[in-house]
Amino acid sequence: MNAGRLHVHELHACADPECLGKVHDLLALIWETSPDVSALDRAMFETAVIEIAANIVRHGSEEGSTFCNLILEVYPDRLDARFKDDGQIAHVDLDAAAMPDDFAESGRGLAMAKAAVDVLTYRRHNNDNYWTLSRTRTAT
Amino acid sequence: MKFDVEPSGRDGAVIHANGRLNLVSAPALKNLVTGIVHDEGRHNLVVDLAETDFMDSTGLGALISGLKTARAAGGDLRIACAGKQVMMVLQLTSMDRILQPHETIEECYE
Repeated sequence: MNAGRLHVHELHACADPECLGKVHDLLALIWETSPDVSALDRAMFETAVIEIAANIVRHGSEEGSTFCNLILEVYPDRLDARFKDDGQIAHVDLDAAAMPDDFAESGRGLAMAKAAVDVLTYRRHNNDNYWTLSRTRTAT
Repeated sequence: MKFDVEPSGRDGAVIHANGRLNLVSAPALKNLVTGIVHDEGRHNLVVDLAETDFMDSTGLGALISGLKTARAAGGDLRIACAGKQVMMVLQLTSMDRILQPHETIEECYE
C-alpha cells in the first residue's frame, strides 16, 4: 500500500482550534521536503485537508478533548491524507455534499474538500472517525 | 491573523487581512465589519487580501457575511489582491461571481 512513498509526516494533537496551525505547519514541512509538488496541487490538497481538520475541530467530543491523528504522504503520482479522531460521529453524506446558495455563510466545507481532491471518504469504526483524502498529482 | 483598518474617504474603509482567514479568525473579521458599518457608518469596504496566506470555507463565509452587512447598509464589500490559494477557493466555490476579485485596492473604488 505504501509502495513508492516518497515522504510521510505525522501529527498527533488535541483537535482544538490551535491544531489547525499545526496542520498548516505539517503541510509546510511536507512541501519543503517535496518541492516538486505543483502550486496547484499544494493549494488544492491543503484546502481539502484543512476543511476536514476544521470539521473535526468543530464536531469534537461531547466529553472533553478530542484527539486526532493525521498522516500526510507524498507519492510520485498522488498526495494522501489520513485522519483518525475519537470525536463524535460525523453525520455526513459525502455523496450529497454540494455548494449551498450563493449568500449562505456556511455549509461549503465538505463540498470544497470534495472538489479539491479525487478521493474523500469517511467511516466510523470502534468509536473512532476515519477520513481519507487523495489527490492525483498534476503533471509538472 | 491580524486586521488593520484604514479609513477611506467619507464612508469607506480598507481592511488589510494579514495571515490565515480560517475557523479561528473568521468570527473576528465578521465582528470587525459589523462594527465598521454600524458603529462608524462606513459601508463601502475593501478587504485587502494581499497578505492573506490561506482562506478556508469559514473565511469565505465571513466575507459573504461582510458583503451582506455592507449591502444592507447601502454600501458594498469588495476584495482586492487575492493570492493563488484564495483565488482557487473563490473559483472552486463559484463565489468569484459574487465576490469579484480586483487586482488593486484602487480598482475596487472605480
